[in-house]
Amino acid sequence: MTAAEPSAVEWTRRVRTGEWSARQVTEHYLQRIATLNPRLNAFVEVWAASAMEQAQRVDQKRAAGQQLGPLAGVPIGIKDNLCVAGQVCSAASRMLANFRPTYTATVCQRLERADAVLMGRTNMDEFAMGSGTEYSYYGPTQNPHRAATGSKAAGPGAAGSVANGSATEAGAGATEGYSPGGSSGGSAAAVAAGMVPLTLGSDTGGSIRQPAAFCGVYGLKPTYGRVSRYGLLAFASSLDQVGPLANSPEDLESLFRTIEGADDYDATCLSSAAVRDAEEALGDWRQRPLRVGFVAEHTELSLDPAVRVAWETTRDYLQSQGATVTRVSLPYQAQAIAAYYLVASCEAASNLSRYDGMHFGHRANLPESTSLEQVMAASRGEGFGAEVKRRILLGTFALSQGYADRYYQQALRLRQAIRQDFATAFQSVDVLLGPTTPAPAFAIGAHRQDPVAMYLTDQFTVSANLAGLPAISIPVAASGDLSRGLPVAVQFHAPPCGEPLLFHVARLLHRWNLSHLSAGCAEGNGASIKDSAGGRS
Amino acid sequence: MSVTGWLILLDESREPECVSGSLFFCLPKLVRLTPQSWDLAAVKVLMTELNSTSQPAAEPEVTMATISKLERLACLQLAEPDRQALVADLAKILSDARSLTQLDLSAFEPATQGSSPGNVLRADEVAPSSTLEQALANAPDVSGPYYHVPRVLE
Repeated sequence: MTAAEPSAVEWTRRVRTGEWSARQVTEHYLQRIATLNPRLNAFVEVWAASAMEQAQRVDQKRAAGQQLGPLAGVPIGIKDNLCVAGQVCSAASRMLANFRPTYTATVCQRLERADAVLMGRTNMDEFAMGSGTEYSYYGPTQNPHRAATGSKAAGPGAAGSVANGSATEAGAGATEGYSPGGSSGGSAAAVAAGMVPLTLGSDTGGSIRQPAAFCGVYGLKPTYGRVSRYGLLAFASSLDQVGPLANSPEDLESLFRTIEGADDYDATCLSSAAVRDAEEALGDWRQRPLRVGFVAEHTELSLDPAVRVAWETTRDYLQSQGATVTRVSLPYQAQAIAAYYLVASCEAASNLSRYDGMHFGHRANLPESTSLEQVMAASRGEGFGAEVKRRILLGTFALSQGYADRYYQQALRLRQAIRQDFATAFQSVDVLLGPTTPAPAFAIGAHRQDPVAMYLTDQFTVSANLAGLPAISIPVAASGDLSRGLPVAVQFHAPPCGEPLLFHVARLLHRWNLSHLSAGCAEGNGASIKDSAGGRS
Repeated sequence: MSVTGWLILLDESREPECVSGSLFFCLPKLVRLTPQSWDLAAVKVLMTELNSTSQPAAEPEVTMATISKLERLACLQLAEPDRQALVADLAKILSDARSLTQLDLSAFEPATQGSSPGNVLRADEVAPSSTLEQALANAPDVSGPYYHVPRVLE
């Protein structure tokens, strides 16, 4: 919604005109992080020194009359699974607590080229496996709209040491407060609280959109292949995609345009020709009323009243603006979540086999006589957390003799069915409207005893990953009574490379949100967190 | 049938149980398959995999023995309380997958990708890569220019 802080686009304008220097902007946000992070634990490490150096280079470029990049001087938070050479990249895991990559992810290289300022790494579920940013080596992140009170968000050392550039230690974490969603919960919370204007996340089954919905910000899962995965620690390679989180559609698009594009280091990236062809296949949507699909199966589901109202009023609003709304059917949606957890776990079991404690990562300290295999097994047992172990074992089971056909192959068949469902739907509509999540944010710990209940919070987001489609989560101004002061959101899917359609819808709804914002909507509690940092604009 | 290529086997002393999963690093062995020189072990693995995709399996029952087997396959050592919790967790997750496993999806080809951009090739040219120093930078233990690992050979 309306951020108390200026947008990224506005900051770049100020830096270009000299109204603010990049160093001043960076200092301003370092101060905000230092104030807010002890309570939210959104950042697990702040790169204060290197951020100030980057900002200084931007100022020097401007002083020398050189052209500045599209994100000049804009501070950005980086999810802790994206590599930046020389900085720790841990995927919030003990396994990689001391891992310093020797190369930089393509998306981060593009940010540096765009003159953005990389502020630090944001908290996440370990190896992006989770929906609440609770399964983190660094303790949980708090939702800025309903953070725990009276205690620090993370364990000993979380507050002061972060701002000084050292990682926090694993801690017991808060025992109350609400989840920011996950796995990119640190990125969503940081943007929602105005700790940085922009963040990067990654989305394997909803890990950008679900936390964006829980925190009341915009989040985009791009088309598979639009954004390079080089330097992203792999979870499930056929599903993973890097994407932006922001407080406005303009900022979201600005960050997306900076990071997207073909990359020689990722063979799954779409070529510019393929993107052009796919965009042409979208047709002349700019010349005619928007055609919105309303998924029939969603109406039968048990949804939180706040989510249902947000979804239906969004539909009515778009209709009032001239859009045509059609009911469409996605018959295999109900099984998508099961298929997703099987496919993702199978790929994770394979991808995470690289962490054996031999070449990098945690190695168990055992007597010299211990065999190679025992050391590997012990290292993995010590290095991985509970949810990661659960998924590795599930994936291993689903790939094992006698069960591969029943589980893995069946899930892949359903994936094909879902692809075809979407292709059929998009013959008659431009975008599909649905909820992002079944309910607003849950309390931290609510799903700790029941992993399946946690998995179900992703039931509306996983299909986009299975089908490789772009999807966006858009916050909707909701009734404060219904949503209990927590943000609610809707989600739109588009055909491959339909990101322009999603940005168009987001801009429409952003204007609508602005005109409807009043006391009691999602901004209420979040604003109190932002204001406590003494923000200036 | 004419088969050529390589298969990576698990520990020879074990029944081959997972050739497409996560365990290539556990005591691997390379076996070459050619039409002329069949290696019995390799054929056994091949047939196991073929069988695994053609015979319907019974509804699985998750027990402590299942967890122990998965630990071995995944080269992942669990603490005792974790083992007990995982019996219940896996059983519940697999039970919830029943709505998927009971569907007739025979009309759909398995899709390993969401979209299919086709194969992507680049020129096979030499380019700079990691230096020795970079490659060893994150190693838990090094010995001169080498990774230092526990004893592999008896």
